[in-house]
Amino acid sequence: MQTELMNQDNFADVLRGISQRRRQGTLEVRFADRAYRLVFVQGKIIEVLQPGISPAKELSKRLKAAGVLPESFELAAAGYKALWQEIQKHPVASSQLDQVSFERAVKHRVLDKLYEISAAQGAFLNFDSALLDIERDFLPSVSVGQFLLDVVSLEAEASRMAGLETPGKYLRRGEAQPQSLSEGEQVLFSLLNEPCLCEELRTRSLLSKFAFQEAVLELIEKGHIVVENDSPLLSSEEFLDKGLLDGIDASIDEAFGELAMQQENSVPEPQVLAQAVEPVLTISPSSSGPQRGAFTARVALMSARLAHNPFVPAVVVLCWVCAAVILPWLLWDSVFLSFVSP
Amino acid sequence: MESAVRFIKIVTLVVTIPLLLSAVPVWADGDTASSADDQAGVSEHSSSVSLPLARIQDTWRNILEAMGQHDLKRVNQLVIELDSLKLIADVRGLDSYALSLIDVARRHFKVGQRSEAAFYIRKALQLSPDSPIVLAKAFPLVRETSSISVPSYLSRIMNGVWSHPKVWLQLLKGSIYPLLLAFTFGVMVAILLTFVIKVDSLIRMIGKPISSAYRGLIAPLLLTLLVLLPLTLGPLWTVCAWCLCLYIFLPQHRWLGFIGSAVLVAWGCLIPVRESLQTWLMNPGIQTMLDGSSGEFREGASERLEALAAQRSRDGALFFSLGQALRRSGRYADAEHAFLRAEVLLGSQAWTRAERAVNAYLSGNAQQADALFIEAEKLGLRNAAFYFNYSKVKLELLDTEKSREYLGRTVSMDPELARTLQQREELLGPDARLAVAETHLPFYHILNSALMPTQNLQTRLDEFSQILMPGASPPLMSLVGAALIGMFFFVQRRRSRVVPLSSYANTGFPQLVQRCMRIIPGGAWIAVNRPVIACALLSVSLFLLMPILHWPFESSGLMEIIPELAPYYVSFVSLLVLGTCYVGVHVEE
Repeated sequence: MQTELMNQDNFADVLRGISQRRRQGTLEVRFADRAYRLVFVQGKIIEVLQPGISPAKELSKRLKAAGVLPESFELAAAGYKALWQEIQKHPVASSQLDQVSFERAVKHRVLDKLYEISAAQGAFLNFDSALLDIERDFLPSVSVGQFLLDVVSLEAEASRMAGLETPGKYLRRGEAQPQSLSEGEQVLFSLLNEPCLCEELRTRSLLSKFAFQEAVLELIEKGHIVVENDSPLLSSEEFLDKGLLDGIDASIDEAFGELAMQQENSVPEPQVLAQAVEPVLTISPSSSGPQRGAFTARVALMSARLAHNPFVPAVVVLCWVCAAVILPWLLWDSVFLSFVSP
Repeated sequence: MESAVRFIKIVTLVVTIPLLLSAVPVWADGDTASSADDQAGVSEHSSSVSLPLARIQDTWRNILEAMGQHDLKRVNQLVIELDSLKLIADVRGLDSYALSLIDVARRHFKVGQRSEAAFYIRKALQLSPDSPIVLAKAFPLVRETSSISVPSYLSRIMNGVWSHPKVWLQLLKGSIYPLLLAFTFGVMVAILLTFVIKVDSLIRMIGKPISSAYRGLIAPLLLTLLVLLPLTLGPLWTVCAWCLCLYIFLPQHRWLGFIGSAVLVAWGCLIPVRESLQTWLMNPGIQTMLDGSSGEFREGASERLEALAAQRSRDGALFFSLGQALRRSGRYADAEHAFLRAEVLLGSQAWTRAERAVNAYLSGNAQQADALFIEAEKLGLRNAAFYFNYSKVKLELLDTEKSREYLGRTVSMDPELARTLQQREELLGPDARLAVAETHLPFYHILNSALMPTQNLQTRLDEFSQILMPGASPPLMSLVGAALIGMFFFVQRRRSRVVPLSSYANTGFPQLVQRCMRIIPGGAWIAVNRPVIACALLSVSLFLLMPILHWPFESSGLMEIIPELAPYYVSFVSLLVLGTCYVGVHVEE
């Protein structure tokens, strides 16, 4: 087990160290407000997990946002394999998604999760060589080198992408005939049957942030995609009225939806220990009286704080060590004395 | 390959020497007392009425006088005389005299008289050449005053131990509690450190069934109580409770629980063995019997053994020794009865047949002796003593060819024994009762004798077990341990589950605890999830540290018997502990 503080200098070193030694295990990256667990096999990243978030559910959400899955689609079981089986059974979804696209969606979900990890924010790193027993079907194998290069490129082209993502700019097919397109470029080009916003295209493409950026900039350079300032669909006022406000509404719904999902996940799945142990502050409105409710709330709040305070295990350990040294001397004198003389 | 074998031998010696010396205190006390008696001119030999033993006593008095006059030449002559008398009297070693000479040698060495010290050491080893206690006590001075090969000297000590059942049994008795205590504390520390490094997981598991509103408050308290409460019930209940916790919460470390359970079973089985040995060895009659099994019979041995035989009528080894003692005192008919009784109790085996054959030969019945020797040979007895005695019978029956053949076998098997017995024949005559070779019972028969039930043992056992595990008797300890071992087979290794993140993630341990774990020999292996290796290293280190700590009392023999060895031993153990910690730090990295 290796634990250290992450900064801009050592994060890449840690990843390279794991990759070069072809280690397997999990690297936990804990920020102040969120945490990630990177699963390594033979030095390559195969999955990125977050507490309380099921990767398969997250993927199904991405697929729904991309319009591949209908909104009515409900994922019954956990895991990519189960999701793929359910998609195959679904009459509409199965016609819109083949296995290659599904695998690509899984890979780009993992990549997007990786790009969310920013070394500049500062976090705790903790590598545990014990490998998690997770389902391996459909999981990608992302090389650390590739990821690190992607991060550098993302930062370098950030300003260009910001320009594309400004409100009012939309993308449409250019005049040039497409020749020798990469996989990502083909995906984007095929989706641009009609003009659309950059963000919308990205959502529909199911590509990761970097893959999308690389493909879209390449297509623009080749002239296969043209950026235009005025939307053919909405005026700027209409965009503000409808697009932006809808977006705000959606984000609020999404936030509540996530909270609801967290609460749902925290109790009924006993095998997901972390979810079961994560403190959920629930104050019953039917408590007898406001005083009791306030007290319960205070206790629950304290309990929640303690459950996340790394100081608590340290205190417990110190208690054990002190007691293990002192108690035998106090209580086992007859044991020690009986071996002092025949 | 050869160097590997040599290495293994040296390691065996290094590991066995503390064991040997851990058994010494009671023994050493007895010898010191004897030495004091000898100095005062009063010893058990003084009561002797037989000529050789009385002459030995007289000669020793003369040696003391000569030492007082610093007449080394005369001392030398008298020691040579004493050596001859020893042979005539069939006394294997004069340990108490030899130890006195070692004390004198030490005094000379302290004042810088190296040559005198070397002289007295040589004479001491001449009087008791194969006594492990004499060899061990003489070791530091032998090293200082002469050039010896340390491994060969140590192997000489080991051979001495091997040929003295009394020493073996003292060794066994003296090593039981130190070993058990070392393993008990080793397991306890290993389990506690395993809990320490898994504290966050343990809190999460304890907190799982608790309501989330109180989990953060209650789980750490509950876990602390669970771990610390057993400490109030004594060490063995603590081991028991912690093993259970390991099985329930950390099944991936269930092998550590298995070791803890095995330690409980060992306590349950070995407390009766050790206490039985203790009571048994304290008995003067038993001490006479053990002297006899080492080939040393003192005056009054047969009377003491007869008195003991009346109390222990089921002890075959005792009747065997009684037979030998009676034969040496010329009471052949009584000896035959004793051997027959031993044969009934020990079952059909070769040793009583061979002794009966010797008895028959000495009482003048060579034909019966021949028949009994044939039976003994059929039962598998083929050692040097057997062939020497048989050659005498064949000579008596005028079968000179066979006699020569058997004597040749004796010489080829054990030239030293053949030489000694032939010398004794020359001095005492071929038909003398001391000019025959003694047959010794195998060690397991003596051990069986030691483990026979003794009066008032149960009270002692109950008292002792209450101290270690209140409310439990030795059988209950074994039962609890066996139940835990049974649980081991039902606890399956839990597979790691998808637990992306949880409470107390990235828990950093206090620096103090981290450093302590590195200082503890084997602690680093806990940090790399190898608690069984850690437990083994901890237990061995504790066992080696016990002679330095003088606890338990049986371990203090090392420092008492060879004080000169103490600095070397302390250095050796310190280096070993430091080496273990150093390797541990690298393993951890």
